[in-house]
Amino acid sequence: MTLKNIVLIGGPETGKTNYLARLWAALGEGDGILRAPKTPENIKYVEEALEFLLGGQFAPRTDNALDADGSGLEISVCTDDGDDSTTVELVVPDVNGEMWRGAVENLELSSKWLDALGSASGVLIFLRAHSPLNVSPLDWVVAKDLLSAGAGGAEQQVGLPTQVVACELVRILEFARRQAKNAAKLRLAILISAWDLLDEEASDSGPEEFVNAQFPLLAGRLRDLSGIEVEYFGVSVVGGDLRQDEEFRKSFHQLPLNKRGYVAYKAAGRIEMSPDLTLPVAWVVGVGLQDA
Amino acid sequence: MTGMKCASPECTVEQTGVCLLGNPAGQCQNLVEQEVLRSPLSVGAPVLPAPQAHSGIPPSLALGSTEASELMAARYCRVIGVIGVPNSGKTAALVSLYLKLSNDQLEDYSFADSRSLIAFEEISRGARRWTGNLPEQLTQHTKLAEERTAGFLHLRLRDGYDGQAFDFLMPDLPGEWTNSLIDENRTDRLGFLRSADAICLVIDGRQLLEFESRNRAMHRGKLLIRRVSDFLGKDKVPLFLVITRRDIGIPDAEIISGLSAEAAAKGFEVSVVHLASFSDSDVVTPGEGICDLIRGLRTSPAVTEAAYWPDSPRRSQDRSFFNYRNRG
Repeated sequence: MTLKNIVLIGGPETGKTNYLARLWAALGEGDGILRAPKTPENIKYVEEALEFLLGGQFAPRTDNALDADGSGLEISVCTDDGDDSTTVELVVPDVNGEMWRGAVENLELSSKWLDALGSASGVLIFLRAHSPLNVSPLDWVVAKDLLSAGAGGAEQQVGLPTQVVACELVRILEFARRQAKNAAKLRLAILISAWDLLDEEASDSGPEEFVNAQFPLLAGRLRDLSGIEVEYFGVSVVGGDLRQDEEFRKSFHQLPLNKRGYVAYKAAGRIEMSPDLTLPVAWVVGVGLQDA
Repeated sequence: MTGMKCASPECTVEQTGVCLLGNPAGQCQNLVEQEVLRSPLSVGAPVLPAPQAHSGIPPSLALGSTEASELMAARYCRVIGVIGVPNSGKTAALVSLYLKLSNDQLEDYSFADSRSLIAFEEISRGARRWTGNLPEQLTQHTKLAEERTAGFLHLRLRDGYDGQAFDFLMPDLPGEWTNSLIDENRTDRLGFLRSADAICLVIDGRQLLEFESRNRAMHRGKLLIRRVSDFLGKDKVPLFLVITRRDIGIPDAEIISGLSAEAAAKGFEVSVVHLASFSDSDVVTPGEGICDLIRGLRTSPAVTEAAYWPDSPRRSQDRSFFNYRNRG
């Protein structure tokens, strides 16, 4: 059986844990292109996260101290054609987003995670649509004032813009693969979580266009990669906002979880919407989107 | 934590509590202080958690000359020598370029990569300024440092028309180095100019516009052109006169042509670009001129390489063997 290490990368509250929980639910239901023929040994972590979704809540922010074995999902999956030769062992550890932010801001990353990036079979980078934690690029007025202040003047004390953090995460990924001397082609999925928050026009334009418009530095960077294949997905794990949308929250239990949520992606030049939450991982492990 | 130990090797007071000389406990003159471990069982065990080994991830700051050389060995990079006295607008131009890219506002070009992305970000936020302790030389290795270091900023852009990507390396230097060049002909740290594909000579447009200051500004500008010319010798590269503060006006044509003529007389191929890094005007947009400058820098001819197999002059020969040459 082939082992596939998948790494989830993203800052705090970008949706990694909720997606992992929803992925687990989708694999278990067996409705998607990827399915799990048997239940894995240790499902404590994903079950705890899934409990929240089943109860009509998003899983809370991942524990700061989380970086222990067992935090994540290890599961055998296969494609729905049932061919044994397509069974892969997925290992998807979860980690607090602060770790990735620390990697960018302080260049601190444990050898465990550097090795994980270097040997990864696939990577998912998470960005959250319209997150209050997203930091915009500097605007012209503020930049001009800062320059005019000159030496001794105050500097702007805000975090790095989200697109700069994302570019740096890509740089760290490339560094890890060079260190590991890993020349195998890598599939990198860009997941835009909370896709349901977008207006119709933005949603219809698709996730790649969303990145082009909202994160132009990252968009340019992703077009310049060598040895890395990129695909874009818009993801809504439950199809609505369980925090801010009270009506949606009240009606949530009218449908089972496996009828909730969707993935937006581009195939054959069109933006498609699929209820199959396993799609991003399926693509990352080698399934073509045209097979979805 | 300290304890007492007997200096006499035969005494076992530490273990038994009984002094070899019969002195009361703690009162023997041979007792000396020693460090006592908190727990004898932890001898040899670390008392602090081991610091996490540095990941080795290189910082995304101004590249040292070593890293810049490595990058140039991997791909072709246009080295753009950017010089100008303090407050001429070099930093503002860099920030303006970066903001245009960050907001996808650079008309014909888009961002592709930067090995010094954090440096650009921090310079824009005012986090890195030239303070009292100016660097004396270009940094050799990229390093984490609180202060701004003199190094190379890397930028890779993509042309929106032909889709081609190209790389710039631009040294980020304090303006005082230019003053030293003018006043003391100090060239020891400007060796990169000889490898540059083009030179941007940044001049404060406000100084050229204002009546009281323009003669001095023009004089200093010409001096700088002469210094650079003398330093480069025969190997001239395209020179861009980047006149900043376009938002408050364009200096008199006579002033600009005076500077251009000085540069042309020295053998430079000269281009003039008027730049408004920021704008106090309603009719001039911030960043105006940046795209023109990028286009010029990208298309300026690189240093001509010597012909690999140059034609030699034809010699008249009696031998017919040589007569085959240049036959159609």
